[in-house]
Amino acid sequence: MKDRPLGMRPLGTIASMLALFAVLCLPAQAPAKDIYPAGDINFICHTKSGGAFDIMARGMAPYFTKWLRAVSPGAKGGELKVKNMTGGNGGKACQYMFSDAKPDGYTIGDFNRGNFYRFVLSGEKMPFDVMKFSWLFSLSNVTRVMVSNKKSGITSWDGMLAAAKKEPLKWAVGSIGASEHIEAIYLKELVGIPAKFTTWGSQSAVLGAIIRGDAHVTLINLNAVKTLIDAKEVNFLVSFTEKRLHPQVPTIKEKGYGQTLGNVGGPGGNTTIGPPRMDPEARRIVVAAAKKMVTDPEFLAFAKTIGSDIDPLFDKDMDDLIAANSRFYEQMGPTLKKYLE
Amino acid sequence: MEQFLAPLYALLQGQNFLLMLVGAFIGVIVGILPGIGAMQAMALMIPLTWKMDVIPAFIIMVSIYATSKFGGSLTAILFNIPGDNPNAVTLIDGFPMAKNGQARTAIGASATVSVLGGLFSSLSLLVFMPVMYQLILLFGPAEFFMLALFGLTAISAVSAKSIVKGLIAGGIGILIATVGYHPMVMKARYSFGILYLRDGINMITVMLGALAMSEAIKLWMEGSSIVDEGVELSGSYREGVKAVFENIPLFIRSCLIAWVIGIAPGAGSGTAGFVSYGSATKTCKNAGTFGKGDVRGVIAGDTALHACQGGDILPTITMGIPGSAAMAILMGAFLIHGIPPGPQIVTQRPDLIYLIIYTLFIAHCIGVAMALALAGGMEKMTKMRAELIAPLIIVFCLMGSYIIREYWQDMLATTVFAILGYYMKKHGYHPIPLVLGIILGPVAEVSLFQALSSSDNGAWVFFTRIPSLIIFLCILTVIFWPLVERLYKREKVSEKVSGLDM
Repeated sequence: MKDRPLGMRPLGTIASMLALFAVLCLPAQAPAKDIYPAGDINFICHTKSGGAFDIMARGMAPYFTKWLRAVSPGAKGGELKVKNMTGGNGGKACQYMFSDAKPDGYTIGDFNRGNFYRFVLSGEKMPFDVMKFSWLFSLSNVTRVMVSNKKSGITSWDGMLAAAKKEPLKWAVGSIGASEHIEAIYLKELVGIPAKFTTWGSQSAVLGAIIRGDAHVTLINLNAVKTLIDAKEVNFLVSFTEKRLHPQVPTIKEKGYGQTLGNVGGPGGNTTIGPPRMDPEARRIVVAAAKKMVTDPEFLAFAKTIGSDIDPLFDKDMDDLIAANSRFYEQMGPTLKKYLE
Repeated sequence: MEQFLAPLYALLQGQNFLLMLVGAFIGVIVGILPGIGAMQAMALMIPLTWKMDVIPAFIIMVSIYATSKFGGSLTAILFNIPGDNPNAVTLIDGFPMAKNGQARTAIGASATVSVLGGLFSSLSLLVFMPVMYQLILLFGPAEFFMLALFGLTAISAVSAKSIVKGLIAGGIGILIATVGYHPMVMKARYSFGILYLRDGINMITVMLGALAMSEAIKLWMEGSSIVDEGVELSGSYREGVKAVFENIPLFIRSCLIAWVIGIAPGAGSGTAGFVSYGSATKTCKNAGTFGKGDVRGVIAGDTALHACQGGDILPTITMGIPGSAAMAILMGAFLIHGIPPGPQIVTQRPDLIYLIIYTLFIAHCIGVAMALALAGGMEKMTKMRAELIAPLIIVFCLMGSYIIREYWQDMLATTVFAILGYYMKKHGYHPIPLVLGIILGPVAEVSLFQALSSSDNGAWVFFTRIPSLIIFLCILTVIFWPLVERLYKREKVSEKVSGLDM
């Protein structure tokens, strides 16, 4: 290969094309003095396109815009632009929201509460203070259910406990430290279920493992497994809900563990937040719009189609939930360390 | 019969057909643009499609999905730029063919396997839907670990002159793939406390740098065009089509490999392409030409990219388990339209299944026609002077690497890998083993982890499961067969010699 000195003209071409690209990539600046929202609102989603959080964000966008304009008469903006910011298991988006996003109300985002605590559990230095975010609202909690492989012989909660006494169960989890893993550890310790966790990396892989019989049981999001339950491809053992989801399947409360209801599913729920010290007027309008949106029949119909049961929390309820989640992780700390090390 | 034909009639109706054209066009364009793939385009379509009726919504989504891969193959062949991760397999032989003036042959072969692979995908959807559950039972992590190992054996075929250098490059690729959060445990590896590295180094970032941008730097340094001045653009689409029909067993084998990999959640078409390519390098005669512009390499790799789409869709619609990120979006579209995917869909909405099957195939054909219309002009660019084409490729690579995650650090990483790729080539290390390591390394690691963590007999799980054992025996065969063959030939020669002596 024969080298020759770099010509300057191509370098100039590259520089000018990249400069043009950079200009095109610059975010549009919102006019600050107009009535909020005067411009587009960046809605940060910490998961990839197509995930449950992303679909909810994209689906709710038009309703949210509609109600933002309704609660803030004269506002001309408020288009929600969903921006997927994956990375570091949600850490990248959290850090962006904490350190880089302007608190002007034009950047908000949807986060899995469990992600905030991953850094604490892994012993890594957390680049943000969870309690300093502007907590805006929570639309729904995750509904967890427990299912088993259909050929495992485990057809009920009691059957599962009996089987576990004979031989420790293989309990499939997505990834170590994910909220469903933490909740599974909590349940295993509370009930005293002899089990060994096997990690599969994703919800899809967990379901594959359950279907193949590579694992006996799993604690999983109802939305992910509903079709398999309906098709009787897995055995539905128990639901972590107040009321039965299926006439023949008991709730965990009926099984004597009602105290698990807030903790199993709770930490995995999604929450909309803003950067620390978010503009109070913008915050008020965003929360007011969300309160209206959750009463909008069209939005509720959309949420139902994607299997999301809207159970909104605002203001003090929201703060109480965050405090409860923090307490849960704090109390679980020593137990979790045993499993995570 | 009416149930079978009504969706086809609906698809060919004015507005629906127009939507398919739009979807196919979007698919081709996002395929051509580096960094953007079907997944991003489908995600952007979700808000637009959700007010639509269910039939048009699925037509546009499936059309985008079906056509994006061929668009990526086009830039991979002509400019060494993989449109998306899986297209890296196309450029191994496609780009050397373009350099030899055979771009049209490579594109013709790629287009043919795209259409035939699409047909295979569609038919496989129809045939295997009732037995999906049994198929999922057959292939677990042990089998996928073995398949990834099988794919890694292709390193020997694409190692340029030295297998040792190939293994070193492959090892570096595997190491690069380990940077960031481990997919199973929550620990970040080799991140040195840097948040950017916690998420790992994006595969496409490495590919754009090590493969495409390094080639542009090389062109620039040498002051040559992609196709040298003395070389004629001699290939033709017809030769490409002919090559596919001359290699039908290879096509069928690639289809089957890809389809099996497609039904496994998470394995992806990148894995399918490389495993299929690896298989071709081990089972075809005169394998020494692979990696140097052999049309069979394009056939094996590209067939897999298209044939695995049926396998990818199958678990998504029949079990509600998405096989890839694009399928997760398609599943989201199902949910938004109030149709929960699952076994009941086969009986409740067979029309939708047939619609997907028809769209998958017809959109493939339309996408290929559109891409071929663009290919003529793009091919002429391979004759452009380095001063003109090299900056274009570099800018496209940098833009592509930025667009994926909108991290400026990705542009930096692409530049670093471009320099690495340039010097690798200069010192006889082919960057393809590096890419193989990056794509198949994580599949092997995750499968190994899953297989061992769920096994009751430790590593015996790889030999007690019949499908895994069969793949293992295939690996042994492809590794040792050349040795056995050489020994056998030597013995025959010595027998002849001793016969002459007597």
